[in-house]
Amino acid sequence: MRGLLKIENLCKVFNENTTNENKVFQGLNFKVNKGDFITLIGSNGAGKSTLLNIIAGTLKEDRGSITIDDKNIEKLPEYKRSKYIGRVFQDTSKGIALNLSIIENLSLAYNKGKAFNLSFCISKKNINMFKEMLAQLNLGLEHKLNTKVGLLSGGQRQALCLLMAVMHKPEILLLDEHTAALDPKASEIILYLTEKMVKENNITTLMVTHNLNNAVKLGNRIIMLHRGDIILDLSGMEKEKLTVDKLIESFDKAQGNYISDRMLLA
Amino acid sequence: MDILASVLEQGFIFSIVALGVYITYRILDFPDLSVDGTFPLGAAVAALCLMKNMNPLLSCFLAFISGGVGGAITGLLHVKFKITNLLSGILVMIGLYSINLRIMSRSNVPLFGKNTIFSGKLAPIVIIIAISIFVKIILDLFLRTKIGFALIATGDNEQMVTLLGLNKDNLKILGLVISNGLVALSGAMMAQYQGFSDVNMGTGTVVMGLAAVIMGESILKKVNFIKVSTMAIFGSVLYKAAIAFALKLGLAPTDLKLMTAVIVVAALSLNNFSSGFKKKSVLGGERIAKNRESLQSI
Repeated sequence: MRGLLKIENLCKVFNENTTNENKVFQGLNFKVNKGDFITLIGSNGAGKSTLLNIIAGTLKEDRGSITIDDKNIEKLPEYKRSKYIGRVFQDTSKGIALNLSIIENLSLAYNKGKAFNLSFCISKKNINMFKEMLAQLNLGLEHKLNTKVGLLSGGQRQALCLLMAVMHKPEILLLDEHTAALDPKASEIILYLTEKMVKENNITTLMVTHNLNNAVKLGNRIIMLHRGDIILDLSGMEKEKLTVDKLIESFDKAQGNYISDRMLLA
Repeated sequence: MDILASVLEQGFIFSIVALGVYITYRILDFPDLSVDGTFPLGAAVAALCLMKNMNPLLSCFLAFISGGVGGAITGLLHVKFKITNLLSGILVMIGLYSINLRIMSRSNVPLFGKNTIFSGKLAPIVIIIAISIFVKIILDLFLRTKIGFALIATGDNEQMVTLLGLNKDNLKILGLVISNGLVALSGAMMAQYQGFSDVNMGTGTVVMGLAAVIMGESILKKVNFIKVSTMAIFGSVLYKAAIAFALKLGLAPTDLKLMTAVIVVAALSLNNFSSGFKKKSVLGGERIAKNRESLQSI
Protein backbone atom coordinates (compact mmCIF):
# COMPACT_ATOMS: atom_id res chain seq x y z
CA MET A 1 0.00 0.00 0.00
CA ARG A 2 1.26 3.42 -0.84
CA GLY A 3 1.42 6.28 1.61
CA LEU A 4 -1.44 8.67 1.16
CA LEU A 5 -0.52 11.22 3.80
CA LYS A 6 3.13 11.66 4.67
CA ILE A 7 4.46 13.90 7.39
CA GLU A 8 8.20 14.32 7.59
CA ASN A 9 10.29 16.01 10.24
CA LEU A 10 7.38 18.03 11.61
CA CYS A 11 8.34 20.70 14.14
CA LYS A 12 5.98 22.99 15.96
CA VAL A 13 6.73 25.24 18.91
CA PHE A 14 4.18 27.47 20.59
CA ASN A 15 5.33 30.77 22.15
CA GLU A 16 8.92 30.30 21.01
CA ASN A 17 11.60 32.01 23.13
CA THR A 18 9.23 32.90 25.94
CA THR A 19 8.82 31.38 29.38
CA ASN A 20 5.69 29.66 28.08
CA GLU A 21 7.57 27.93 25.29
CA ASN A 22 5.91 24.65 24.44
CA LYS A 23 7.64 22.32 22.01
CA VAL A 24 4.79 20.19 20.71
CA PHE A 25 6.55 18.41 17.86
CA GLN A 26 10.28 18.00 17.39
CA GLY A 27 10.71 16.06 14.19
CA LEU A 28 7.64 13.89 13.96
CA ASN A 29 7.57 11.38 11.10
CA PHE A 30 4.39 9.63 10.24
CA LYS A 31 2.73 7.95 7.30
CA VAL A 32 -0.90 7.12 6.66
CA ASN A 33 -1.65 4.43 4.10
CA LYS A 34 -4.56 4.59 1.74
CA GLY A 35 -7.61 2.98 3.33
CA ASP A 36 -6.26 3.21 6.88
CA PHE A 37 -8.71 3.91 9.66
CA ILE A 38 -6.43 5.17 12.42
CA THR A 39 -7.51 5.89 15.97
CA LEU A 40 -5.24 8.44 17.58
CA ILE A 41 -4.97 8.51 21.36
CA GLY A 42 -2.79 10.21 23.93
CA SER A 43 -3.00 12.29 27.08
CA ASN A 44 -3.94 15.95 27.06
CA GLY A 45 -1.21 18.03 25.52
CA ALA A 46 0.22 15.14 23.56
CA GLY A 47 -0.35 17.00 20.31
CA LYS A 48 -3.29 15.10 18.82
CA SER A 49 -5.45 18.09 17.97
CA THR A 50 -2.42 20.15 16.99
CA LEU A 51 -1.49 17.41 14.52
CA LEU A 52 -4.95 17.46 12.93
CA ASN A 53 -4.92 21.26 12.81
CA ILE A 54 -1.53 21.25 11.11
CA ILE A 55 -2.68 18.69 8.54
CA ALA A 56 -5.81 20.74 7.82
CA GLY A 57 -3.84 24.00 7.69
CA THR A 58 -5.57 25.74 10.61
CA LEU A 59 -2.16 25.91 12.27
CA LYS A 60 1.09 26.49 10.44
CA GLU A 61 3.98 24.16 11.13
CA ASP A 62 7.41 25.66 11.88
CA ARG A 63 9.27 23.10 9.79
CA GLY A 64 8.65 19.84 8.01
CA SER A 65 6.77 18.63 4.97
CA ILE A 66 3.24 17.37 4.54
CA THR A 67 2.22 15.56 1.39
CA ILE A 68 -1.10 14.12 0.31
CA ASP A 69 -0.89 11.77 -2.69
CA ASP A 70 2.70 12.95 -3.22
CA LYS A 71 1.54 16.56 -3.56
CA ASN A 72 3.09 19.03 -1.15
CA ILE A 73 0.32 20.82 0.68
CA GLU A 74 2.20 22.75 3.35
CA LYS A 75 2.12 25.95 1.28
CA LEU A 76 -1.61 25.71 0.53
CA PRO A 77 -3.93 27.84 2.69
CA GLU A 78 -6.52 26.03 4.75
CA TYR A 79 -9.40 26.59 2.34
CA LYS A 80 -7.48 25.08 -0.58
CA ARG A 81 -6.53 22.00 1.43
CA SER A 82 -10.23 21.41 2.03
CA LYS A 83 -10.31 19.91 -1.45
CA TYR A 84 -8.56 16.82 -0.07
CA ILE A 85 -9.78 16.91 3.50
CA GLY A 86 -13.07 16.36 5.29
CA ARG A 87 -13.37 17.33 8.94
CA VAL A 88 -15.70 16.82 11.85
CA PHE A 89 -15.06 18.66 15.13
CA GLN A 90 -15.92 18.09 18.75
CA ASP A 91 -18.03 21.25 18.70
CA THR A 92 -21.20 20.23 16.88
CA SER A 93 -21.76 23.76 15.59
CA LYS A 94 -18.43 24.06 13.79
CA GLY A 95 -19.13 22.06 10.65
CA ILE A 96 -22.56 23.43 9.78
CA ALA A 97 -24.31 26.78 9.38
CA LEU A 98 -26.78 26.93 12.28
CA ASN A 99 -29.05 29.55 10.77
CA LEU A 100 -29.52 27.64 7.53
CA SER A 101 -31.86 24.71 7.06
CA ILE A 102 -30.81 21.09 6.57
CA ILE A 103 -31.37 21.26 2.83
CA GLU A 104 -29.41 24.51 2.54
CA ASN A 105 -26.48 23.01 4.44
CA LEU A 106 -26.55 19.87 2.32
CA SER A 107 -26.75 21.90 -0.88
CA LEU A 108 -23.68 23.88 0.16
CA ALA A 109 -21.78 20.68 0.91
CA TYR A 110 -22.98 19.16 -2.34
CA ASN A 111 -21.46 22.07 -4.26
CA LYS A 112 -18.05 21.73 -2.60
CA GLY A 113 -15.37 21.74 -5.22
CA LYS A 114 -17.70 23.12 -7.88
CA ALA A 115 -17.76 26.71 -9.04
CA PHE A 116 -19.69 28.92 -6.63
CA ASN A 117 -21.35 31.03 -9.28
CA LEU A 118 -24.70 32.69 -9.84
CA SER A 119 -26.66 29.50 -10.46
CA PHE A 120 -29.22 28.64 -7.82
CA CYS A 121 -27.86 26.73 -4.85
CA ILE A 122 -30.86 24.54 -4.11
CA SER A 123 -31.86 22.44 -7.04
CA LYS A 124 -35.14 20.51 -6.89
CA LYS A 125 -33.68 17.52 -8.63
CA ASN A 126 -31.28 16.95 -5.74
CA ILE A 127 -33.98 16.83 -3.08
CA ASN A 128 -34.66 13.11 -3.48
CA MET A 129 -30.96 12.34 -3.37
CA PHE A 130 -30.60 14.33 -0.13
CA LYS A 131 -33.61 12.55 1.34
CA GLU A 132 -32.04 9.18 0.57
CA MET A 133 -28.76 10.26 2.17
CA LEU A 134 -30.59 11.45 5.28
CA ALA A 135 -32.72 8.29 5.44
CA GLN A 136 -29.53 6.25 5.75
CA LEU A 137 -28.74 8.09 8.98
CA ASN A 138 -31.98 6.66 10.40
CA LEU A 139 -32.59 9.77 12.52
CA GLY A 140 -35.75 10.93 10.80
CA LEU A 141 -33.98 13.96 9.36
CA GLU A 142 -35.36 13.27 5.89
CA HIS A 143 -38.71 14.67 7.10
CA LYS A 144 -37.13 17.86 8.44
CA LEU A 145 -35.44 19.22 5.32
CA ASN A 146 -36.53 22.78 6.01
CA THR A 147 -35.73 22.79 9.72
CA LYS A 148 -32.96 25.13 10.79
CA VAL A 149 -29.92 23.13 11.79
CA GLY A 150 -29.60 25.12 15.02
CA LEU A 151 -32.80 23.50 16.24
CA LEU A 152 -31.46 19.95 15.93
CA SER A 153 -29.95 17.99 18.80
CA GLY A 154 -26.20 17.59 19.11
CA GLY A 155 -26.34 14.02 17.82
CA GLN A 156 -28.44 14.95 14.81
CA ARG A 157 -26.12 17.86 14.02
CA GLN A 158 -23.04 15.69 14.25
CA ALA A 159 -24.61 13.08 11.97
CA LEU A 160 -25.27 15.86 9.48
CA CYS A 161 -21.68 17.13 9.80
CA LEU A 162 -20.42 13.64 9.13
CA LEU A 163 -22.65 13.26 6.11
CA MET A 164 -21.48 16.60 4.73
CA ALA A 165 -17.82 15.77 5.39
CA VAL A 166 -17.92 12.48 3.47
CA MET A 167 -20.32 13.57 0.73
CA HIS A 168 -17.45 14.30 -1.63
CA LYS A 169 -15.32 11.35 -0.60
CA PRO A 170 -12.34 13.31 0.68
CA GLU A 171 -8.86 11.81 0.40
CA ILE A 172 -8.63 11.93 4.14
CA LEU A 173 -11.19 12.40 6.89
CA LEU A 174 -10.10 14.07 10.14
CA LEU A 175 -12.29 13.42 13.18
CA ASP A 176 -11.33 15.43 16.24
CA GLU A 177 -13.07 13.85 19.26
CA HIS A 178 -16.26 14.14 17.30
CA THR A 179 -18.35 12.21 19.85
CA ALA A 180 -16.91 13.80 22.99
CA ALA A 181 -19.69 16.37 23.37
CA LEU A 182 -22.52 13.88 22.90
CA ASP A 183 -24.48 11.76 25.36
CA PRO A 184 -23.61 8.03 25.38
CA LYS A 185 -26.51 6.98 23.17
CA ALA A 186 -25.89 9.66 20.54
CA SER A 187 -22.17 8.98 20.71
CA GLU A 188 -22.83 5.30 19.95
CA ILE A 189 -24.99 6.19 16.96
CA ILE A 190 -22.39 8.60 15.58
CA LEU A 191 -19.62 6.03 15.95
CA TYR A 192 -21.74 3.44 14.19
CA LEU A 193 -22.44 5.90 11.37
CA THR A 194 -18.77 6.86 11.19
CA GLU A 195 -17.71 3.25 10.75
CA LYS A 196 -20.43 2.60 8.20
CA MET A 197 -19.70 5.67 6.08
CA VAL A 198 -15.94 5.19 6.20
CA LYS A 199 -16.29 1.56 5.15
CA GLU A 200 -18.84 2.16 2.41
CA ASN A 201 -16.83 4.93 0.82
CA ASN A 202 -13.40 3.49 1.68
CA ILE A 203 -12.20 6.78 3.13
CA THR A 204 -8.83 7.08 4.82
CA THR A 205 -9.57 8.29 8.33
CA LEU A 206 -7.72 9.74 11.27
CA MET A 207 -9.81 9.78 14.42
CA VAL A 208 -8.75 11.41 17.67
CA THR A 209 -10.48 9.97 20.71
CA HIS A 210 -10.17 9.87 24.49
CA ASN A 211 -12.34 6.81 24.72
CA LEU A 212 -9.96 3.84 24.81
CA ASN A 213 -12.80 1.37 24.21
CA ASN A 214 -13.59 3.06 20.93
CA ALA A 215 -9.92 3.38 20.07
CA VAL A 216 -9.49 -0.38 20.44
CA LYS A 217 -12.75 -1.33 18.80
CA LEU A 218 -12.66 0.90 15.73
CA GLY A 219 -10.21 1.05 12.87
CA ASN A 220 -7.34 -1.07 11.65
CA ARG A 221 -4.51 0.89 13.22
CA ILE A 222 -3.93 2.62 16.54
CA ILE A 223 -1.38 5.31 17.31
CA MET A 224 -0.52 6.67 20.72
CA LEU A 225 1.05 10.09 20.92
CA HIS A 226 2.98 11.25 23.92
CA ARG A 227 4.63 14.63 24.14
CA GLY A 228 4.77 14.92 20.39
CA ASP A 229 6.17 11.47 19.72
CA ILE A 230 4.54 8.28 18.54
CA ILE A 231 5.09 5.76 21.34
CA LEU A 232 2.77 3.08 20.04
CA ASP A 233 1.79 2.21 16.47
CA LEU A 234 -0.05 -1.05 16.00
CA SER A 235 -1.93 -2.33 13.01
CA GLY A 236 -3.39 -5.53 11.61
CA MET A 237 -3.28 -8.55 13.92
CA GLU A 238 -1.44 -6.68 16.66
CA LYS A 239 -4.21 -4.10 16.76
CA GLU A 240 -6.87 -6.80 16.87
CA LYS A 241 -5.23 -8.50 19.83
CA LEU A 242 -4.97 -5.22 21.74
CA THR A 243 -7.15 -4.77 24.82
CA VAL A 244 -8.02 -1.70 26.82
CA ASP A 245 -5.99 -3.00 29.77
CA LYS A 246 -2.87 -3.32 27.66
CA LEU A 247 -3.41 0.16 26.37
CA ILE A 248 -3.72 1.62 29.84
CA GLU A 249 -0.51 -0.16 30.74
CA SER A 250 1.34 1.59 27.91
CA PHE A 251 -0.31 4.82 28.90
CA ASP A 252 0.96 4.49 32.46
CA LYS A 253 4.39 3.54 31.25
CA ALA A 254 4.58 6.66 29.15
CA GLN A 255 3.37 8.82 31.99
CA GLY A 256 5.86 7.11 34.30
CA ASN A 257 8.77 7.91 32.02
CA TYR A 258 7.62 11.45 31.91
CA ILE A 259 7.56 11.75 35.67
CA SER A 260 10.97 10.18 36.09
CA ASP A 261 12.37 12.57 33.50
CA ARG A 262 11.01 15.43 35.49
CA MET A 263 12.43 14.02 38.71
CA LEU A 264 15.86 13.65 37.15
CA LEU A 265 15.79 17.21 35.95
CA ALA A 266 14.70 18.44 39.34
CA MET B 1 -50.92 64.17 2.00
CA ASP B 2 -47.66 65.92 1.29
CA ILE B 3 -46.13 64.41 4.38
CA LEU B 4 -47.25 60.92 3.42
CA ALA B 5 -45.75 61.27 -0.06
CA SER B 6 -42.41 62.53 1.24
CA VAL B 7 -42.31 59.82 3.93
CA LEU B 8 -42.83 57.17 1.25
CA GLU B 9 -40.32 58.76 -1.14
CA GLN B 10 -37.58 59.18 1.44
CA GLY B 11 -38.43 55.86 3.06
CA PHE B 12 -38.03 53.95 -0.19
CA ILE B 13 -34.82 55.79 -1.16
CA PHE B 14 -33.47 54.95 2.25
CA SER B 15 -34.66 51.35 2.05
CA ILE B 16 -31.73 50.71 -0.29
CA VAL B 17 -29.36 51.79 2.49
CA ALA B 18 -31.27 49.46 4.81
CA LEU B 19 -30.74 46.57 2.35
CA GLY B 20 -27.03 47.36 2.24
CA VAL B 21 -26.72 47.58 6.01
CA TYR B 22 -28.70 44.34 6.25
CA ILE B 23 -26.00 42.56 4.20
CA THR B 24 -23.13 43.66 6.43
CA TYR B 25 -24.81 43.88 9.82
CA ARG B 26 -27.12 40.87 9.61
CA ILE B 27 -25.68 38.49 7.02
CA LEU B 28 -21.95 39.04 7.51
CA ASP B 29 -22.12 40.16 11.15
CA PHE B 30 -19.78 42.99 10.19
CA PRO B 31 -20.54 46.40 11.78
CA ASP B 32 -19.56 48.44 8.75
CA LEU B 33 -19.26 52.17 9.46
CA SER B 34 -17.84 53.01 6.04
CA VAL B 35 -21.41 53.50 4.80
CA ASP B 36 -21.30 56.94 6.46
CA GLY B 37 -18.68 57.74 3.84
CA THR B 38 -20.03 55.81 0.85
CA PHE B 39 -23.50 57.39 1.06
CA PRO B 40 -22.15 60.93 0.32
CA LEU B 41 -19.61 59.33 -2.04
CA GLY B 42 -22.50 58.09 -4.18
CA ALA B 43 -24.06 61.55 -4.01
CA ALA B 44 -20.78 63.22 -4.95
CA VAL B 45 -20.10 60.92 -7.88
CA ALA B 46 -23.65 61.34 -9.16
CA ALA B 47 -23.38 65.14 -8.78
CA LEU B 48 -20.10 65.18 -10.71
CA CYS B 49 -21.60 63.06 -13.50
CA LEU B 50 -24.76 65.18 -13.70
CA MET B 51 -22.73 68.40 -13.82
CA LYS B 52 -21.05 66.92 -16.89
CA ASN B 53 -24.57 66.24 -18.30
CA MET B 54 -24.24 62.47 -18.24
CA ASN B 55 -27.22 60.13 -18.42
CA PRO B 56 -28.75 60.08 -14.89
CA LEU B 57 -29.13 56.29 -14.81
CA LEU B 58 -25.51 55.89 -15.84
CA SER B 59 -24.59 58.34 -13.05
CA CYS B 60 -26.42 56.13 -10.56
CA PHE B 61 -24.57 53.10 -11.88
CA LEU B 62 -21.19 54.86 -11.54
CA ALA B 63 -22.16 55.86 -8.00
CA PHE B 64 -22.88 52.19 -7.27
CA ILE B 65 -19.43 51.22 -8.60
CA SER B 66 -17.69 53.93 -6.56
CA GLY B 67 -19.42 52.73 -3.39
CA GLY B 68 -18.32 49.20 -4.21
CA VAL B 69 -14.72 50.36 -4.42
CA GLY B 70 -15.09 52.01 -1.00
CA GLY B 71 -16.48 48.77 0.43
CA ALA B 72 -13.64 46.79 -1.13
CA ILE B 73 -11.11 49.02 0.64
CA THR B 74 -12.84 48.45 3.99
CA GLY B 75 -12.73 44.71 3.30
CA LEU B 76 -9.08 44.72 2.26
CA LEU B 77 -8.09 46.69 5.38
CA HIS B 78 -9.87 44.10 7.47
CA VAL B 79 -8.83 40.82 5.85
CA LYS B 80 -5.36 41.70 4.54
CA PHE B 81 -4.06 44.05 7.20
CA LYS B 82 -6.04 42.41 10.01
CA ILE B 83 -7.47 45.74 11.20
CA THR B 84 -10.63 45.18 13.28
CA ASN B 85 -13.87 45.47 11.34
CA LEU B 86 -15.05 48.52 13.29
CA LEU B 87 -11.82 50.44 12.78
CA SER B 88 -11.55 49.52 9.07
CA GLY B 89 -14.95 51.09 8.52
CA ILE B 90 -14.10 54.21 10.50
CA LEU B 91 -10.84 54.69 8.60
CA VAL B 92 -12.58 54.45 5.22
CA MET B 93 -15.32 56.78 6.43
CA ILE B 94 -12.80 59.43 7.51
CA GLY B 95 -10.74 59.05 4.35
CA LEU B 96 -13.79 59.33 2.13
CA TYR B 97 -14.70 62.70 3.65
CA SER B 98 -11.68 64.28 1.97
CA ILE B 99 -12.22 62.30 -1.22
CA ASN B 100 -15.83 63.45 -1.42
CA LEU B 101 -14.70 67.08 -1.08
CA ARG B 102 -12.15 66.48 -3.87
CA ILE B 103 -14.84 64.99 -6.13
CA MET B 104 -17.28 67.85 -5.57
CA SER B 105 -14.55 70.58 -5.28
CA ARG B 106 -16.72 72.23 -2.62
CA SER B 107 -18.89 71.13 0.26
CA ASN B 108 -22.24 71.59 -1.49
CA VAL B 109 -23.18 71.13 -5.15
CA PRO B 110 -26.71 72.18 -6.21
CA LEU B 111 -28.26 70.10 -9.01
CA PHE B 112 -31.16 72.36 -9.95
CA GLY B 113 -31.84 72.46 -13.65
CA LYS B 114 -29.79 69.34 -14.31
CA ASN B 115 -31.22 66.29 -16.01
CA THR B 116 -31.84 63.78 -13.16
CA ILE B 117 -33.70 60.48 -12.84
CA PHE B 118 -36.68 62.56 -11.67
CA SER B 119 -36.71 64.89 -14.72
CA GLY B 120 -39.05 62.63 -16.71
CA LYS B 121 -42.83 62.65 -16.73
CA LEU B 122 -43.20 59.92 -14.09
CA ALA B 123 -43.88 60.94 -10.50
CA PRO B 124 -40.79 60.63 -8.27
CA ILE B 125 -42.53 58.11 -6.03
CA VAL B 126 -43.03 55.71 -8.97
CA ILE B 127 -39.37 55.90 -9.99
CA ILE B 128 -38.15 55.49 -6.42
CA ILE B 129 -40.36 52.49 -5.66
CA ALA B 130 -39.46 50.90 -9.00
CA ILE B 131 -35.73 51.17 -8.30
CA SER B 132 -35.94 49.95 -4.71
CA ILE B 133 -38.18 46.98 -5.63
CA PHE B 134 -35.80 46.15 -8.48
CA VAL B 135 -32.83 46.21 -6.07
CA LYS B 136 -34.74 44.08 -3.56
CA ILE B 137 -35.65 41.43 -6.14
CA ILE B 138 -32.10 41.26 -7.49
CA LEU B 139 -30.75 40.92 -3.95
CA ASP B 140 -33.27 38.21 -3.05
CA LEU B 141 -32.36 36.28 -6.19
CA PHE B 142 -28.65 36.75 -5.53
CA LEU B 143 -29.00 35.36 -2.01
CA ARG B 144 -30.47 32.16 -3.44
CA THR B 145 -27.50 31.49 -5.71
CA LYS B 146 -24.53 29.38 -4.73
CA ILE B 147 -22.36 32.39 -4.08
CA GLY B 148 -25.22 34.04 -2.18
CA PHE B 149 -25.52 31.04 0.10
CA ALA B 150 -21.77 31.02 0.57
CA LEU B 151 -22.07 34.65 1.70
CA ILE B 152 -24.78 33.78 4.22
CA ALA B 153 -22.73 30.84 5.47
CA THR B 154 -19.70 33.13 5.91
CA GLY B 155 -21.61 35.24 8.41
CA ASP B 156 -22.93 32.13 10.09
CA ASN B 157 -19.85 29.94 10.32
CA GLU B 158 -16.49 30.88 8.79
CA GLN B 159 -15.01 27.49 9.59
CA MET B 160 -17.68 25.77 7.54
CA VAL B 161 -17.01 28.00 4.55
CA THR B 162 -13.32 27.10 4.79
CA LEU B 163 -14.26 23.42 4.90
CA LEU B 164 -16.19 23.93 1.66
CA GLY B 165 -12.95 25.04 0.05
CA LEU B 166 -14.01 28.68 -0.22
CA ASN B 167 -11.97 31.75 0.67
CA LYS B 168 -13.90 33.46 3.44
CA ASP B 169 -11.86 36.66 3.04
CA ASN B 170 -12.97 37.12 -0.56
CA LEU B 171 -16.57 36.46 0.40
CA LYS B 172 -16.42 39.12 3.11
CA ILE B 173 -15.03 41.62 0.61
CA LEU B 174 -17.78 40.70 -1.84
CA GLY B 175 -20.42 41.36 0.81
CA LEU B 176 -18.90 44.76 1.61
CA VAL B 177 -18.70 45.68 -2.08
CA ILE B 178 -22.39 44.92 -2.65
CA SER B 179 -23.45 46.61 0.57
CA ASN B 180 -21.52 49.84 0.00
CA GLY B 181 -22.48 49.85 -3.66
CA LEU B 182 -26.14 49.86 -2.68
CA VAL B 183 -25.59 52.57 -0.07
CA ALA B 184 -23.84 54.76 -2.66
CA LEU B 185 -26.69 54.16 -5.10
CA SER B 186 -29.08 55.36 -2.43
CA GLY B 187 -26.88 58.42 -1.87
CA ALA B 188 -26.98 59.19 -5.59
CA MET B 189 -30.78 58.95 -5.58
CA MET B 190 -31.04 61.12 -2.48
CA ALA B 191 -28.87 63.86 -4.02
CA GLN B 192 -31.10 63.93 -7.12
CA TYR B 193 -34.25 63.83 -5.00
CA GLN B 194 -33.31 66.75 -2.77
CA GLY B 195 -31.62 68.65 -5.59
CA PHE B 196 -28.15 68.96 -4.13
CA SER B 197 -25.21 66.91 -2.91
CA ASP B 198 -23.70 67.80 0.44
CA VAL B 199 -20.50 66.44 1.97
CA ASN B 200 -22.19 66.09 5.37
CA MET B 201 -25.26 64.22 4.20
CA GLY B 202 -23.81 60.86 5.26
CA THR B 203 -23.59 61.49 8.99
CA GLY B 204 -25.45 58.78 10.85
CA THR B 205 -26.25 56.68 7.76
CA VAL B 206 -25.24 53.45 9.47
CA VAL B 207 -27.41 54.11 12.51
CA MET B 208 -30.39 55.05 10.37
CA GLY B 209 -29.92 51.93 8.25
CA LEU B 210 -29.70 49.85 11.40
CA ALA B 211 -32.81 51.51 12.78
CA ALA B 212 -34.69 50.53 9.63
CA VAL B 213 -33.45 46.91 9.65
CA ILE B 214 -34.17 46.40 13.34
CA MET B 215 -37.56 48.12 13.30
CA GLY B 216 -38.64 46.04 10.33
CA GLU B 217 -37.48 42.83 11.96
CA SER B 218 -38.96 43.46 15.39
CA ILE B 219 -42.36 44.31 13.97
CA LEU B 220 -42.58 41.72 11.21
CA LYS B 221 -40.60 38.79 12.60
CA LYS B 222 -43.76 36.94 13.62
CA VAL B 223 -44.90 36.85 10.00
CA ASN B 224 -43.15 33.84 8.51
CA PHE B 225 -43.60 34.33 4.80
CA ILE B 226 -42.16 37.85 4.68
CA LYS B 227 -38.58 38.02 3.45
CA VAL B 228 -36.05 39.92 5.54
CA SER B 229 -35.42 42.28 2.63
CA THR B 230 -39.10 43.23 2.69
CA MET B 231 -38.80 43.82 6.42
CA ALA B 232 -35.87 46.18 5.80
CA ILE B 233 -37.87 48.21 3.26
CA PHE B 234 -40.87 48.33 5.58
CA GLY B 235 -38.65 49.34 8.49
CA SER B 236 -37.11 52.12 6.45
CA VAL B 237 -40.50 53.64 5.59
CA LEU B 238 -41.58 53.22 9.20
CA TYR B 239 -38.45 54.96 10.42
CA LYS B 240 -39.03 57.93 8.15
CA ALA B 241 -42.66 58.03 9.34
CA ALA B 242 -41.51 58.08 12.95
CA ILE B 243 -39.16 60.96 12.19
CA ALA B 244 -41.89 62.88 10.36
CA PHE B 245 -44.18 62.29 13.31
CA ALA B 246 -41.56 63.63 15.70
CA LEU B 247 -41.19 66.77 13.58
CA LYS B 248 -44.98 67.16 13.54
CA LEU B 249 -44.95 67.03 17.32
CA GLY B 250 -42.77 70.09 17.29
CA LEU B 251 -39.28 68.69 17.74
CA ALA B 252 -36.54 70.74 16.10
CA PRO B 253 -34.77 69.15 13.09
CA THR B 254 -31.58 69.39 15.12
CA ASP B 255 -33.03 66.87 17.57
CA LEU B 256 -33.48 64.21 14.90
CA LYS B 257 -30.15 62.43 15.45
CA LEU B 258 -31.04 62.00 19.10
CA MET B 259 -34.44 60.67 18.05
CA THR B 260 -32.74 58.17 15.77
CA ALA B 261 -30.48 56.98 18.59
CA VAL B 262 -33.48 56.58 20.89
CA ILE B 263 -35.39 54.64 18.23
CA VAL B 264 -32.46 52.24 17.70
CA VAL B 265 -32.01 51.71 21.44
CA ALA B 266 -35.73 51.08 21.89
CA ALA B 267 -35.97 48.68 18.93
CA LEU B 268 -32.80 46.79 19.92
CA SER B 269 -33.73 46.38 23.57
CA LEU B 270 -37.28 45.33 22.70
CA ASN B 271 -35.92 42.87 20.16
CA ASN B 272 -33.48 41.31 22.61
CA PHE B 273 -36.03 41.21 25.37
CA SER B 274 -38.61 39.27 23.41
CA SER B 275 -36.20 36.83 21.79
CA GLY B 276 -33.99 36.26 24.84
CA PHE B 277 -35.68 33.02 25.75
CA LYS B 278 -35.73 31.81 22.20
CA LYS B 279 -31.96 32.12 21.79
CA LYS B 280 -31.28 29.97 24.82
CA SER B 281 -33.12 27.04 23.32
CA VAL B 282 -30.49 26.66 20.59
CA LEU B 283 -28.05 25.38 23.17
CA GLY B 284 -29.82 22.04 23.35
CA GLY B 285 -29.50 20.14 26.63
CA GLU B 286 -32.57 21.08 28.57
CA ARG B 287 -34.69 21.55 25.49
CA ILE B 288 -33.78 18.17 24.09
CA ALA B 289 -34.50 16.51 27.41
CA LYS B 290 -37.95 18.09 27.46
CA ASN B 291 -38.70 17.42 23.84
CA ARG B 292 -39.96 13.88 23.44
CA GLU B 293 -39.82 13.95 19.70
CA SER B 294 -36.12 14.66 19.52
CA LEU B 295 -35.46 12.12 22.26
CA GLN B 296 -37.10 9.45 20.21
CA SER B 297 -35.35 10.41 17.05
CA ILE B 298 -31.92 10.03 18.59
